[in-house]
Amino acid sequence: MKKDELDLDILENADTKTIETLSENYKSLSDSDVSRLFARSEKLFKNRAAESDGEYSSTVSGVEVYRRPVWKKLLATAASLVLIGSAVTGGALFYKNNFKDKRYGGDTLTIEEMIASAGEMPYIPYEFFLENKKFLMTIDNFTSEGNPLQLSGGPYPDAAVAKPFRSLLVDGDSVVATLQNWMFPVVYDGKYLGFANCGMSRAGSDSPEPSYWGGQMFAPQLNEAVQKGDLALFTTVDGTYGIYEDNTVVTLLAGAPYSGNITFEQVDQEYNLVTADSVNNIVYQNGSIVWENVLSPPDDFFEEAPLTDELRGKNIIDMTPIYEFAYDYSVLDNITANADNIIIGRVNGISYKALTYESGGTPYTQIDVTVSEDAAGKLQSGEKVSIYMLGGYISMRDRTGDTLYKTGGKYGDGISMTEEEIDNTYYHEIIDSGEVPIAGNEYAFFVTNNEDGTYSAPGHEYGILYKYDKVYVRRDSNGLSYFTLDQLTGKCNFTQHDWGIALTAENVTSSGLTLKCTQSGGKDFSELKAHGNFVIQQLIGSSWVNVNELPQTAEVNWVTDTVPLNDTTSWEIDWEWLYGKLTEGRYRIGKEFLDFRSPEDFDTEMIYAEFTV
Amino acid sequence: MTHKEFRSKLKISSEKAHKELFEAYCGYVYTIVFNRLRSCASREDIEECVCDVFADVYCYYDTEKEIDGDISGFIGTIARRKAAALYKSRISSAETVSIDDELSEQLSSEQDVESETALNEQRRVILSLIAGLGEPDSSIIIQKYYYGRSAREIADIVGLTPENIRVRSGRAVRKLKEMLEKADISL
Repeated sequence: MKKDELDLDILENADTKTIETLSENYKSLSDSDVSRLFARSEKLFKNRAAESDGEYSSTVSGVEVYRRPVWKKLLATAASLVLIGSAVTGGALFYKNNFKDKRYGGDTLTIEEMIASAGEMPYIPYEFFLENKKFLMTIDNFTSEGNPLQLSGGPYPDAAVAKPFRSLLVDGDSVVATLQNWMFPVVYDGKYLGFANCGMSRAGSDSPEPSYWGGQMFAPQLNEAVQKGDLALFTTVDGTYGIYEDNTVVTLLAGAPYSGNITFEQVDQEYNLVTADSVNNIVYQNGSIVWENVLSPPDDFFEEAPLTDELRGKNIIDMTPIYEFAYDYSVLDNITANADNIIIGRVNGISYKALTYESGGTPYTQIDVTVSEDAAGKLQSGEKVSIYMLGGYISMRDRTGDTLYKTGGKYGDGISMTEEEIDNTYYHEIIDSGEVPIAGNEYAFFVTNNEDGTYSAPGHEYGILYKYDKVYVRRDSNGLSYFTLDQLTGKCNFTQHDWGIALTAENVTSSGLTLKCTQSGGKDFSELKAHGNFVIQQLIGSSWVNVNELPQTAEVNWVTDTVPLNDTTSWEIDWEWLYGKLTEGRYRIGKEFLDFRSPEDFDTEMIYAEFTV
Repeated sequence: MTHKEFRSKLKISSEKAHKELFEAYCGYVYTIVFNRLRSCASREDIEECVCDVFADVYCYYDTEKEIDGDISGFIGTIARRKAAALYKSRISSAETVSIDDELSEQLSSEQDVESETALNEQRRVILSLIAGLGEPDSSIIIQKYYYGRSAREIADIVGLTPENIRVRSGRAVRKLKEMLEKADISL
C-alpha cells in the first residue's frame, strides 16, 4: 500500500451499528445525487406500476435504460476505426442518398428494417465524429459563405454545434430500439438552425459505415416546441416527434400525426431529452472542440509529493518558503515565452535533490521521464530525461548548511537538538499546491535546458499538462483548460538552429580528447560563441545519461570563445579533474553554443560529438 | 418518519410523500447498499439498486395496514435484501442458501459470533479514531477511502477546494495511521 493509501475494507459488510454510525455521521450522497436518484426512483416506480404483474421489465434489449459513461471506454476504440464514409452531397438539402427514409424523401422503411438498422454498427461515441473531416464538412453547409442550404438569414459563420441527441424508435405504444444516429444540433444565438446527423447504421446497405446527412430538418419546429417545456424525441416509421411530460405529443417532422399512446416516462432516456438549455451545451465552435463540455478527465492527475524510503519515519516539517521569481510563472504565456522545449513523456518516478551551498540548500523535486516526443525535435523517443521542479524535501542539515551550529547574534544560543534529532528532521518546502505529477501518467512538460543536459520546469506545476487522450489538460487556480499539442507548440518559438556547426571528437583517451569545431554555411545568426564548459554523457541502453562529476573544491571559471566562421577550430579537453577516467563505453561530449546579439538577447543550443572509449 | 406520517403524506400527494421519504432515507439506504456491494459493484449499479429499493417501497407499501413506528426498519430491511440479492448474483450463479436473512443469523456458530464481535469492536474503534480527527478531515477520510470519491466530489460535499482536499487527505491519513498504530490496529 502506498504511504497515502488507507484500506478501509474492514468497514465492508458490517453490522447494523456500524452502518448506522456511518449513515448518521457522514453524508453518503451529494444534493445533486439525491435529486438525480429520486427522479430515477420515481421513473422506476411508475414503470413498475404500469406493468400488470408488478415485476419490473426492461425494454427491448439495446435500449439504454440508465445512462452510463461508456464513451470513455470506447473513445480509443472508435478513434481507431477506419472511416470510409460516403461523400456528402452539397446543395440545400444534403440528404444522404442511400439512407432511404420517407422523412428525407426516400422510400418508407418498415419497422423491421429500422430495428435491424439500429443494430448494424457498434456504438460510436459522438466525440469521434467531432474530429472527422466529413462531419466537419457537413457543418460547413451552415457556416460557409455560399449559404448552400439557403437558410433564411444565412450564412451563419459563427454557428456552433451542440451536444447531440439520439432518438428512440417507437412502434405503436412501445419503445423498440434506440436509433444508431447522432443528431448534432447546429445552433446560433440560442436557436436551432438545423442538424448534422451521423449515422452509425446504413439501412438497406451491405457495407456498414457511418453516413452523414441533415439540413434544416425540424429545427424551426423544435425552436417552437421547446418554448413550451422539456420534450423527449422519438421516431416512428412516419417521422420524428417530441413528447412532453404531460404526454402531449408534438409532430416535428413526419408524414402523419402520431396516433399511439406512448408516455413520456417510456420515452425519456436523457440522451433524447431536449430542454431549454440543450441549445447552449456547445461541443464544437470556431474550429475547435469545446473539450470542457466533452471530456471529464480524472480529478487527481497530481498527487501530494510522495515520501521516499529515506524520508519514512522522519520528522517532517512543512513550510512555505518565499521565493522571488523573474515572472509570474502561473501565466501560460510567460511559461511559453521562457521555455526551450515541450517534452511529452511518461513519469517513471519522483525523487528529491538538494542544491547545497555553505549557507544552506534548496530542495528540488526530480521527475524522471521516458520521452515519447518533444516539440523542438531534439530528443528521441524512449530517451530518459530528468526534469527538476523547485520544492520538495530537504534534510535539516542540507537546508541550514554551516549555520546549523552557529550561536550568538541572531542565532542566540543555537539549536537545542541532539545529533539524532537533527538527522531525523527534514523540511518539506511546499510551492503552490506542493503536488507532483503521478508516476505512470503521461504529461507535457514545458522545460528549459540545464547546462548538464537535464531540464528545469519553469512553470512549476502550471507548466505540466496532463495528457488525456488527444488533449493536454492544464490545472491552475481557474480550474482546467484544454489544449492540443499544436496549440501549445504554436505558442512557443522552438527552432532548431541552422548555424552550420559540426563537432567531431579526435584523439580520444579515457582522460580527454580533441574537440574539433567546423563552422560552414548556416543562416540567421549574429555572432557565434561557444561556452567553455562541457558535459559528458554515456549511452546506457537507449538513453544518454550524465556521467557523475567529482566534487570540486572551488567554483570553475569557464571562458567563452568566439567561433570563427567558415573555419575549423579545436579545443583540447581534459576531463579527468571533473569526471575521473572514463570506463569503456559509448559517450558524447556536449558543448553549448550561443547566437549572441547582446548580453540580454541570445539563443543557445547544445551540440554534441559522439566518441568511444 | 413514522409509518403513520408516511401514510398521511401519501393521502395528500404520493409524489411529494415519495420525495420526502427519499430525502429522509436515501443516505441510509445508500450506506446499507454500498456497504454490501462496495467490493463487487460499480457506482452505477449501487445507485440503481438504491433506486430499486425505493421503487419497491413505493410500489409495495400497504397503506391499509395500520402499523406505526419508525419506517426506517422497513426500508432498511428491503435495502439489505436487495443488496444481498445483487451481491449473490454478482459473486455466484449457483444456487446457494441465503446466509443474509435474519433467520440465518441465529444459526451462526459460537466461534463465528466471537470473531464477528471482535471485528465489530475493531470497526467501532476505527470509526471512533476517524471521528477523532475532527471535521472536515474525518469526512474527507470516509469519502475518499471508504466511498472512493474524487477530490472534486468531496469538495462539493465538505465545501473546500479540491486542492485543499488533496493536501488535507494526505495529512489526515498520516495522522490516522499514527493513531491506529498507538491503538495497535493494522489495516
